[in-house]
Parts: sequence; structure tokens; C-alpha cells
Amino acid sequence: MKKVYAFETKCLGCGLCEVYCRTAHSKFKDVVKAHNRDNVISAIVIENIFRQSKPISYFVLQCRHCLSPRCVKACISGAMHKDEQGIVHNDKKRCVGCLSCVSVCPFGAIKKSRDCKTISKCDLCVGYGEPLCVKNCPNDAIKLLDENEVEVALK
Amino acid sequence: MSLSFDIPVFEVVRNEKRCIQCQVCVRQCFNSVHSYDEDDNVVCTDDIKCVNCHRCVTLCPTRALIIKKYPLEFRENTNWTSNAIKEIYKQSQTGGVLLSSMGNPKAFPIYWDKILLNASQVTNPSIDPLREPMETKIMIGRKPEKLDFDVKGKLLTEMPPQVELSTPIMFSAMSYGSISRNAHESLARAATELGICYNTGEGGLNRDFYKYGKNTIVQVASGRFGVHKEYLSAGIAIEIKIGQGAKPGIGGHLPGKKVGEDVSATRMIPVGSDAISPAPHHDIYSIEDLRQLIFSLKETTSYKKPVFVKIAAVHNAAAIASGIVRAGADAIVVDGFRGGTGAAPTRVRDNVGIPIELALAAIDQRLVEEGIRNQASLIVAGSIRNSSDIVKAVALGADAVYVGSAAVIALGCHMCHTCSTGKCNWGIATQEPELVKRLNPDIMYKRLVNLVSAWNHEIQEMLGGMGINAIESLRGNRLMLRGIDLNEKELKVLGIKYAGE
Amino acid sequence: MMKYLIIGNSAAGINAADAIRMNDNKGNIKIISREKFRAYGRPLISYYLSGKVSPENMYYRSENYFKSKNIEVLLNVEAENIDLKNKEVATIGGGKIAYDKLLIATGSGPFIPHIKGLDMCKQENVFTFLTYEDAIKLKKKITKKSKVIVAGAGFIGLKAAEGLFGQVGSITVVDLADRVMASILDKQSADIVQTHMEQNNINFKLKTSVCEIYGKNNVSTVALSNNEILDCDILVIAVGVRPNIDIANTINLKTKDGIIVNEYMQTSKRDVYAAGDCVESLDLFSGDSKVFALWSSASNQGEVAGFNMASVEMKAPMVFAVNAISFFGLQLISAGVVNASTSNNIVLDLVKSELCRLNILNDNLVGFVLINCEQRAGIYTALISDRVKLSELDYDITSRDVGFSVYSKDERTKKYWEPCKR
Repeated sequence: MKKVYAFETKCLGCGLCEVYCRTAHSKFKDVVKAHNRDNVISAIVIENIFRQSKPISYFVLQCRHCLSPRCVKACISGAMHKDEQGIVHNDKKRCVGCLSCVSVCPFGAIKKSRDCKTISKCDLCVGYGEPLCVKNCPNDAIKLLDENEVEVALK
Repeated sequence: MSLSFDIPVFEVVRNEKRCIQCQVCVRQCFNSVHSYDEDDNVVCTDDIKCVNCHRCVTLCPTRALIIKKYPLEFRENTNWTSNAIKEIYKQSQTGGVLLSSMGNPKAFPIYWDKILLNASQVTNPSIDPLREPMETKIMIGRKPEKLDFDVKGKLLTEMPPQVELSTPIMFSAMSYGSISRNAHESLARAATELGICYNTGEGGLNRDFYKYGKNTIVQVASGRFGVHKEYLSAGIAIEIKIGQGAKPGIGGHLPGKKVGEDVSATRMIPVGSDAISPAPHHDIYSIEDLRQLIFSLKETTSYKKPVFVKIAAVHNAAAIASGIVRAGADAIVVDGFRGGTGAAPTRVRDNVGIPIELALAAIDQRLVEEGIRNQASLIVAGSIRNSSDIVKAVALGADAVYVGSAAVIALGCHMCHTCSTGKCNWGIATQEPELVKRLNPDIMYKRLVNLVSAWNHEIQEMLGGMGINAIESLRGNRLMLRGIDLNEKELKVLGIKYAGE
Repeated sequence: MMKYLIIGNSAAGINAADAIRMNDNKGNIKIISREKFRAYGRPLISYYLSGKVSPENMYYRSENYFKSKNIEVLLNVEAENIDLKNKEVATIGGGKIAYDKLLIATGSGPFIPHIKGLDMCKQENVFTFLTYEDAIKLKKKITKKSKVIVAGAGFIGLKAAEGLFGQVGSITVVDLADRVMASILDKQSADIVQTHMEQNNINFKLKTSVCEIYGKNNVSTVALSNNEILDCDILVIAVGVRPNIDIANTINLKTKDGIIVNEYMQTSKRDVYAAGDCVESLDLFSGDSKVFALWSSASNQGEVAGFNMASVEMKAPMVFAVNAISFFGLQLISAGVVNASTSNNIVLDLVKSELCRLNILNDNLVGFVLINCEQRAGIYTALISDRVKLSELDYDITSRDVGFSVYSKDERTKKYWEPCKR
């Protein structure tokens, strides 16, 4: 299964992935409208690594689509589920925003939505071909890789 | 001094309707031009810090940013231009030498743009490089007076060492220190893939890059930083740098803040110490001294590496070149006054040296007249901007060209002329880890490969148009050139006829 | 072909069925449930009560899910006893279902305390609040004027109270403890929750309990142990749960409060497994055997049981409580030890009703309470479950908001890149 992997050595912490993530998950497919008229939040976490309160490095974090996802098991409504391909989805229609998934995600990669009624997580932009964060990363720091490609990338 | 006369050079114009407060610009500008105001949820700008590097403009996802010339005018005055006034403000505040980066920006004539190429019509038909063989390969190095063969046709003459280039283009000397490790790696990888060479500059060569040795020219300059036997043997050729087009007669200065662990090890100097290259080589005061250095280097490398000598294009370039050839150099590199640099005193950059086109023509002419043109290859540098500049250079007598500015532009340089600050937002002329990261060699080396491949293709097209099927056949063929908008003297120095003649 | 039988159609049972199917393509899997509804998200009943979740969204799996996985679900079927020798389960009404591997995932039922005058069979306005059916009945009975008494200020009692908000005349929650959700909240956190609920017109009577009920077929008033008398149109009893172990007792499985299982979720009898709210689990901190009624733990145990039933060895982790709840927009996550601890770090902002309490014991995080600042809560949970030494982290977790960057680069890289089996 292909997953999104982020390379800390390449990440600039610019935040463009978040901009395009928001756009991808907005009902407006235009960047400006998605931000100015829609309330969606990105499904990406950008973290700074600080030394003496100065950020020296960055990485982005999306849902890891775990083999045995704790979030799915903690979900009380069945909204969080893993599909045949192994992608962990959250069905917004069924999500009650209880944050059980947030409470158990070891990566802290699930975010509460702005209206607190549901959550936001990476769905690999199914339907877009390539996830928009991957496509729009200016430094190729985010890649969509299958298991074999991961092996290569790690070498 | 509390009162500063500084005024912004650029104005950052933000289209508030398109700005989504994503703060990509805030995070990407190392000069802190942009800042986010949480209270009002707006992104603000401080124009005075802007150097117009376009980083924010390029990354802005909504194209909400434009950078303009700051509209504040001084009273119009042809003599006292705003620039002249601002320079005085600056110097009267700092008491320092004005520093600039990149090449001479002044409105001196650009002779490449006043020379036109020929094409075949009817007789000596043109050649289509897509259908017929077209050779752009060249060999750099000393060529024998004549070749001897045995009866079977086997070459008897011992050939001096040569550097083979798939196309007559090399990446100019840019030291690891002046440019980032990732920029250096991009150049090395691109040169390797292209079958051309890049040049270490005077920063030594990090051992991680020894694997690109076959495509590396190692430089020996007045500071002798990072020079040792292994280094000299690591490349395919050695270049002695006497002068640089952007600052003839001036040494180099890498500020201590750019000398981190890695640069320090490579240059063999303490971390944080300024790396100062003296103006002259303190062991070279004559052609004979130069000869001694050339042969010391050849001796060290068992005469297996050609030795280049690089000079800035100055008034007596032709005579100097003749001396260099006689001193035993295998190639002369001449760097014109538009050649780039990380930092040079502004006055020197803008007022010293001569255009490369004139220096090239003069040197080639002189060496031919003296009958020693075969003894050394002639490489020119100093603002080669495109493939037609290269074709014209070859027709004026060059074997190959060095490109520096064009290469860094391919790597993302937006010619903001602030390399010397070390805050290159594109990760090229910087050692800040956070900025170096921005230049991903995996992406950028391909851009260099693309650029040179494209130029090579264009060179083939132009050669074909002239009915020539090998670039070697164009070298020094000034009949293929005509001048336009040039006076008699210029035509004479260039050795070309006027258009229509 | 293996025959798997699962008694119970909720978190443990369904996750077990999924796990079995993952490891055994062909085996025959049957789930029996005494309820008449398809599997639903049990904690959703308060959302149903309030109307936030419509009936069609109550279900835990889509309608054709079980068919697509070739899992047979029999509703309205209750197991009566088990014949270990012939490997058969007898159901009420005389049916018999054969099995090779059996899972008891019967969950828990309401604990009904002894209260003078209480007669659940006759009194039509007394409810428990554990099943979908309970919620449907309760919802039918309430009117705009109902005076509701909720006995028990635990998770279930408070969710019931929130679910009823706006649909009844008054709601009063009664609990013997000095604070709400005493088992998962410290006093300070509990006060924030209580204040927030009081602002939404939920009344509390704490340090007291319902001791007598008046009314034969309909409760009309209740007496509290502090001698107060309250009018009551609806009484919801939500003082706790007890494991459903009747079926286990028919075959004399080893039990304490719940069924005793080993880390492979095997009971004391061969080929009989048990998982979920009906079993005893080992407490991560004390190592004691305890009953945890936790949805995620039930799912986990069900999965582990399923793997082992399908002969793929897997061990269940030790358990600690993790609860995520919201009341009227107040988001609350609590985990591990929240009351007593030797050192704790509390960041409090009463204006925004924000609280972050980290309980640290001997270089380990042992528990936390987060109110309205839960964004990266899962990282704290992982620090607890993995028993991470705080001194080995990249920074002091009490110094700022935690992130994945809290791990050292090596550790972080390992966690990120290892094929994720978490």
C-alpha cells in the first residue's frame, strides 16, 4: 500500500502542504476560497524542532495508516474505519467528534475540526490521484511510496 | 547614529483579497520581511529588508505577492542618480567599502548582442542535427605540433593529458563555502551525468565529493585552501587561479560565519576563522614563477593532469596569455568583467577589467600570430548567458566556456545580488543549515542537466545552420560572424567584418 | 473448516470476527446477539437520545458489511448454556449451535443498587441507560415537563443528562462521591466539568444518594440520604456496570468480578475465549486484575482473541483507562492515574476552561487530564502505554505542548519508518 512519507532532511517547514491539504478537503477547490470561505482544517501536523527556542528543523506528520490502527478500535461510532486497501478513513457523517481517536493516536496525527463536531485526518487524497501535499511540496520532502520504495528511500 | 537615511529599494505589494494568511512567506523569508500580526490576522511587510529574491513570490500559493521598485523618487538628475546618492548615504553611515555580488551590472556594451551568426543558403547546405551526425565533443589540453604515425597508421606521438567534454560547457569555479554543500553536490552530479566538468573553486574538495573526481577540476588559488596531494589527484585537471573577472587584482574573503565544521575541514582552517585569499600569489611575481608552480603541480600529479591558468580579462590580457602558454599551461581561462562573484568591492566590480568578447578575440589572435595557439586550450568565462553566446565565443576562438551565473540561476538564483550576506533564501550562497535544505540536489541537479542539454541541442542547431558538423570546425572561424552597431576599432579587435560586408 | 462462535455483537465480538476473518478466509463465523438491533455504537445512545445521531447512523458497521465478510449474525438469539463436551451452545428457545472455538463477549449490564422501594419490573419510569433499547424507551417517555433524576454522576449518568438536555423540565444528578466522574477525574478537573454542566442547567446533588423511592407503578418522589425529598418523573439509574457472566457461570469458568483470562484471552476451559467488558484485565500500573469497561480495550481484546482463535498467536497488552468525552462542547480526555500521584504538573486557564494535568511518577507519565486542550493527547497516551522514561525524551513534557518531536531523532525515525504495527 502506498503511504505518504515525509523526509525531515528535506522539509522546509514552509506550510504549503497544509495550504493544499485544506484546499483538497474543502468544498471549494480554489485555494483562496477554501481558506477565506471554508472552515476546514488541514490533516497535516507541522512540527518544529527547537534548539534554544529557535527552530532548526521541521517535519510534517500525517496519519500513518497503521496496520492495526488504535483510532479505529477506539472509535465508538464506527466512523473510523480501514478500507480494503488499508487506508484509514473517517466517515464524517457518522463521526460524533468524541475525540476517542485523538486520545489514542500515538503520532498525534488526528486533529479536531474547527467546529469540534468531527475530526480531520489524512485520507491520502483518494480521488486526486496524487495527494496534494505530495504534489505541491516545493522541495520533494513529501513522497507517496509503497513498501519497496520505502526500502530504497531509506538506503 | 539614530537617524538612518536608508530607504527601501523594493516595495512588497500584497493583494489582500488573495492573501490567505497561510504565512508561507513569513516562514520562507530569512530576511524577516514578512510577519504575522495575530491581533488583526494579517500578514505585514517591512519593505526595507526586502532584497527582491522572489522566494515569497514563488512560493505564495495564491499569487498574492508582487515586488516592485520602491516608488520613492529623488529629484531627477542624470549625474546624481538615486543609486549614487544612496551609496553615499550608506558609506557615510558605515564608513566601509561598498560590497556587491554577482557581475558588473553597468550599461557597458554587451558585444555578444552585437555579433550575428551566419547560416548556409544554397551552397554548402545546412545540416539537420536530428538526422545527421553532429559533434559537440571537445578535448581540453595541449595539442602536439604534429602527429607521427607508424606504417600501420598507429599514433606514435605521445599525447599530453586531455579533458574530454561532451559539449564545450563547464561549470565555473564556485567554492564550497561560498556556495552551499547542496549546490556543490548539484553541480557535481550534473557534470557527471552530462560528461562535462565542474570546478571546486578555491575551497578545497570535501571527501564526499571525490567520487565525482572524473568530472572535477580542482582549483589552486592564492589562499591555497584545502590543497594537498590527494586533492590535486582527485580531479581530472588542476586550475591555478590568478584572477577573477568580477574583481581583478583583488583577493577573496570568506567570512568566518560561513566557516562551519564541514567547510573548515575541507579548507583546512579553524572553524569560524575568516578565509582570506591574498590578492596575489605570494610565490608568483613573474612568468617564470608561474612556470614553477605549473610544473610543481604537474610533478605532483605525474604529468597526468592538465594544468589550467585562470586570469581576469584585463588590458594586457593577450600578452599575459602568451606568457601563460609559454609557462607551460595546458589551458588558459579568461574571465570577463561581467563574471559573477559572491562578494566584491562594488567599485572594483563595476570599473575594473574588460569585456570577455574583446579579451577572447585579442588573445586568440595573439596566440595564432605567435604560432602557439595549439599549445593551450582557451576557455572563456564571464557571463555566458545562452547557447548563442557559446557559439559566438567558439567562433571567436574559444575551445570551451565556463558558466557560473547561468548555472546558479538554474539552481534557483534570482539575481538579488546579496550573496555576501549569507542569507540566500534559495539555499545557494549560504551555509545556514535551514537555508541549505531548501536546495534539494535531487531536484536541482536535473535542472542543470536540462539546461546544458537544451543548450547543447541549440548549439547543434546553429552549427547545422552554418553547415558545420563539428564544433571543432567552428573554432576561430570568424567568417561566421558579423558585427552590428560597432565602430571600426571594435570590429578590428574582434577581428570580424561588419554585417553586409 | 473451523467453526467460530461469538456470543455478543459489540466491540469485542465484532473485532474478534474481523480478526478471525483476516487470518482465516474460509472458517464459518457466527455472531449471536440477544439484542434485536444490528451492531451499534453503544456509547452513541446518548447522542441518539439528544437527537445528534439519527437512527440510521447508530450502526457500527454498514448494513452489508457482515455479508461481505461472510460473517453470519443471528439477532434475538440468547445463549442459555454451553456444552463443553459436545462443543455446542444451547440458545433460549431450544436451538443448538456447534463451535470449534467459542468467544464470550457478553459485555456488561447495569448495576442496580439496593434502594428501598425500587422495583424495576413494575415502575415504568425507572430506566437504566446502557442499550439502544434503553435509550429508545427513555426517549419515548420524556416530556418537556419531566423532572429527571439521574442516579450516578459517572460517564453514563452525565452523558444521559447531557442527552436529555433541552427535552425535559429539569435534570438533577445525584452521586455519593464528592465530585463528578470520581473514577477518572481529580477534584479540580471535576469541578470544571461540573461548573460547565451547571451552566447548562444540569443540577447536582453530590455526597448523597437516592435511598428511597416512592410510587408503586410510577415513581413520584425520591428521598436522598441527606433527607432531601425530590419530585421525580423519570429516574435513570446509572451507578455503574457489572460484567455479564451468567453464561460463563453455566460452565464454571474461573471468574472474579469478570471472567478470568490469560494474555491470549483464553478462559480456564479449552477453546473458550472471552473478551471485552465481561473479563478481568491486568492493570498497567498495579498489575492487579480488574474489570475495565472501555470500548477501545474491548475492541483490542476482541482482536487479540480473534487472532488466537484463528491460531495466530497474539498477546493482549495490559490495560489502563483512556476516556474521551465531551459535555456541551467541553472536551475532556482523561487517562491512567488521575487522582493520587507524587508529582503533577497543572496548567490551568479558568477563563477558557482549559486544563492540562500531567501526573508523573518516577520518571514516567502515569496519567493525564486534558480539558479543551486535547490536540496531541494520543502522544501522552503512548508515553503512558509504552512506559517511556521521560528523562530520555528530547524535552521536558511539562515545559510546552507535546508533539511527536518529543522523541529523540532516532526514536522518532524508528517509530515513523518501522512498518507500523501499532
